[in-house]
Amino acid sequence: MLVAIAPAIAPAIARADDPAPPDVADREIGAVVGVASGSRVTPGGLRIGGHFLYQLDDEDWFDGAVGFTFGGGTAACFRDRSDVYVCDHGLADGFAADLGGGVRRFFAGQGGFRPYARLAASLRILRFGADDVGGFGIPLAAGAGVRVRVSDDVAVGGEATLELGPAWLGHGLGAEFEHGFAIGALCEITLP
Amino acid sequence: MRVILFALALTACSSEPVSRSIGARCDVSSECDERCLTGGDFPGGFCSISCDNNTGCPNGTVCMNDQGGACVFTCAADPDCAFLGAGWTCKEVDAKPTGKVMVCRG
Repeated sequence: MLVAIAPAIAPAIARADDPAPPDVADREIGAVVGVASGSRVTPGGLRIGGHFLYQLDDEDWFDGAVGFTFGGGTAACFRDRSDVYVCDHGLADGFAADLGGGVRRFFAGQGGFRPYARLAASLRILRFGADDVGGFGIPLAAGAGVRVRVSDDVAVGGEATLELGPAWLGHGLGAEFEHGFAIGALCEITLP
Repeated sequence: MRVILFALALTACSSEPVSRSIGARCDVSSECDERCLTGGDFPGGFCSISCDNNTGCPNGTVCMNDQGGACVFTCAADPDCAFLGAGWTCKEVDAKPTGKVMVCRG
């Protein structure tokens, strides 16, 4: 009898002995889908991206990120009355590709929810194709979010980020100031 | 919430009195949303929109009969046209479809 039931209950006993998985694993990767607001010389539109988390200490994780912003193609650059070339793009124009990293700090949560704050910097390549304007920027991002683990290996959540920083654009625009706001839903999985 | 409102306020800021659709400098129509008015009446060039009446013109502009019907900035006196640069003054022209109207012209 014991021989017969032992194999059946052994996995359950093993599970009971396992420690609960941490709310945030020491290494995770994830994806984010959301929207970013653009303006003047800041691309905006659909934002998709990826994250790589690597634990630094009890509270902090390195947060490497790659992101792509896809907006519309409306031309919005022109010569003002002083003959200065300016751009006046709307909320969802242009394209941007970002690669950067920073630190994500997780705070004590409640009921499985773990809020966090995030500071990061990235190198951005941006383009407004309809105006034949392109360049690069160095946006600094400050954000906050919350996530909850839905299984041993998967966490989901949402975050909001404010992005500010300088950019350098062609077509005579020169140095400009970018600012935008992004919100997104994320899904992150534990790496083995 | 305040941070979000601040970010949205920054995003919404636009200080340009002119745009690709109306008022920008131009040499050719490809610099404008629709058309570029050139010549002595429009020093530096003037991006404009075709119109049949004032309904088709943005706020602050009216439909003049010249150029087959084009939206231009309305005015009351010369200083109202100073933002367009040297050579622009406030003049009375034929409105479209009828009447007279004061507009900025070169």
